[in-house]
Amino acid sequence: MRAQRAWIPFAFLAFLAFLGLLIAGLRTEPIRAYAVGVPSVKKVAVASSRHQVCEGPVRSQYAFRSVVLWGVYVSGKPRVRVSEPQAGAGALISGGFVERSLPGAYGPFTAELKRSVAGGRTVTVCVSDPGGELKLRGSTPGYSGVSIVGSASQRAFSMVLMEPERHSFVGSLGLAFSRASLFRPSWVGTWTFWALLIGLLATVPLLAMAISAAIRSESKQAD
Amino acid sequence: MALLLALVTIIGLAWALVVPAWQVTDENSHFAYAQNLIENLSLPSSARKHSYSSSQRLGAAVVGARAGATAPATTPPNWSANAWRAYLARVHAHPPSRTDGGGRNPATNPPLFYLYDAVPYLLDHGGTVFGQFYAMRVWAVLLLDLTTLGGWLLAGEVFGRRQSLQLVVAAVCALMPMSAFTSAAVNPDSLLIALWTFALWLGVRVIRRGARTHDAVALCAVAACAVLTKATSYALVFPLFAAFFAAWRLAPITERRAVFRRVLMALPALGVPVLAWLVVSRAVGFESVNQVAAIAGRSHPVTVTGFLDYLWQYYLPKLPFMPVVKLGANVPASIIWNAGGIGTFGVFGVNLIVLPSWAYGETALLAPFIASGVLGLVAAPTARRTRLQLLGLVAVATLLLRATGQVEYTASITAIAVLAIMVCSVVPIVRHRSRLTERQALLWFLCSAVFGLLLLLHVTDYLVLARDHYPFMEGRYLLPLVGIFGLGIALIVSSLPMRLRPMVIGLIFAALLGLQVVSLASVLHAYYL
Repeated sequence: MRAQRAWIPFAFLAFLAFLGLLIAGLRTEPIRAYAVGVPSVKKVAVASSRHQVCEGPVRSQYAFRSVVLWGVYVSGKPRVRVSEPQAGAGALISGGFVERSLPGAYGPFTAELKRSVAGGRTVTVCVSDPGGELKLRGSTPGYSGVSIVGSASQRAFSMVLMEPERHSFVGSLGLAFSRASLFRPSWVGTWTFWALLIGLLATVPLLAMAISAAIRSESKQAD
Repeated sequence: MALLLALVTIIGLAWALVVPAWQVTDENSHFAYAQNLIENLSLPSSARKHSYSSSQRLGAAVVGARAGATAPATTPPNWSANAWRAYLARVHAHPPSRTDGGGRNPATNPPLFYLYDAVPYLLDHGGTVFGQFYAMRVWAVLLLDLTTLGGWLLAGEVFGRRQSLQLVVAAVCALMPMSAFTSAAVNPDSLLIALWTFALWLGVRVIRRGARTHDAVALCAVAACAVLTKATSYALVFPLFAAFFAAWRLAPITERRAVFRRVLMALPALGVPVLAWLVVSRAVGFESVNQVAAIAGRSHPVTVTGFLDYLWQYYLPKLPFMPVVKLGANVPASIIWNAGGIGTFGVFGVNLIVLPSWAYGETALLAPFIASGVLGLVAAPTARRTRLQLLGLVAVATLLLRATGQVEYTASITAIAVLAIMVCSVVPIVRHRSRLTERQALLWFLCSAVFGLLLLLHVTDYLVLARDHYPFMEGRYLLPLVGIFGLGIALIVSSLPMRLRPMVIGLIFAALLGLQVVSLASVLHAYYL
């Protein structure tokens, strides 16, 4: 291969890799609307037919449709209810677990609600398990201030709320970058990550140039 | 080279800013060490103080980065703009203390890296803990650039000014995901990798240029800096003396006395700083060599035969007459040679964010071929047919292991090939009558670095396992040898016909860049979506 064309194999392979990654990145999947920020460290409560465990106040910036919990499922049919205390008894959305895990299996378990809960509302999430029990895992509440309602010791169970719509990774990059720009120095913003992405894409021709220059220099030396 | 450095800097910055605070392995301990050193001018050893300052504890709590409880799979952070604003309002109204840390800290390394990190910390001294933390991360990207430069120089010294091979070695050093991830972090490993790469370069210079005084002094000084960064670098003593010995053996008999004298003059550059640190650390009651020291309260006796049993079973299937040795997970050796590779396909951070399984499974099968390819070139540089037969044998063995569901034993093939390379390197040294060639001397030097680090890691691992069965070994501990790994790949590339080289180099770069993108995307997805 002539030295002047040394960049072609890399450019071609990089294009193939880019295409593969793009296709993978266009697959849609649910993304997080809210996370309670409590590590799943130990058993903190047991939900059963007689005992409903509630946690709040939860205020998600984004709408959500499903609730992910961590725990040990023993038996029964666990259910999740989301209530908006200030809106009266009518604002109660329930849902069942979509995964039928084997008894004794650890979570995470996902409960699908019958309809979406709008973003920006303060809600309480309750878990019960008619005919069985679900040992919920969590630890002490984090910075969010969310805790198990009525719990004497400050405890909270781990919980994540998922958005109603599925999104592709590529389509969610803006959201990921806006989240990544929080808890950063003042000079970092969403723009920083877009700039880095553009920089990363620009590395392909840079690399092609570097390889081409290296092969050319060796060919000259060989001549 | 400038183009590659630009690329590495962009990727390093991406790693530094994308990974949330304190989410690289042990980063909370390293940050606490640096902060205490800067704020209190002391080493973290007080039994009466908190390990972490109030400013760090508040920052870590607000991003859910509490030590030992951070995993986005079970504790995803919330990333609420309101929480961020509330945090800023709180720290501006009542700034948390930065000086109340300094208690006992799992990071008991010497202070060099933390002194290096004092510069960015002080630049943002009045800011929030996040400003200080990310300034330190961004500053660490310079070390990734230094590693890249070290790889380039090392290849230039070994292969001569062949830019394509220099480019390959430099890219392997910097663009392997685990290398970039670790280097763009508040972690002494970033400085360690750079210093080891430079030490390897200087060692090759010592051998090739007859141990000139400034090369020998520079090698000793870099080795001293490495020891003052992390105790793992005591392993550098092996290649350091191997380089001096090789330079002495290569010199004409009439010049050997002069070489010896120059080496003696250089050794204080290593000995004085290291001894000074040992004296100071002892005087202030700081445990300075925790990673290599014997461990008290062992639950099993430590014996040489026990160590040899451990070593065998780490890499090879247990033989019937051998006692069962307690080993960590991922043996035989897969954590070193396969899944962890040489840190090639990392498991990122304390949060165990893993790449898609194919990155570990299929691409890990490359390791035995790379090792056997290098072995073939080292043992039979002119016998192309023999080399091809060796690779064919490895392919058959790998396929058989795969067909019988014993894929993890492909790591054994890699280990055997590496051991064979080491044996090849020692033979010319012990055969006194034969004339040592420069090529043999270089192989001996590079193998002594691999041997030294592996020996130190395995002894530590064995002692730790003998104590409480907790596995110590991690693939990332081999990252200081990343330059040698790069040299191995470049050696294979150099053996290919000229017309194939652009294709193979293109493939290497495309693979490295693809792995970087997949790795960064995995981290973005795990933390933010």
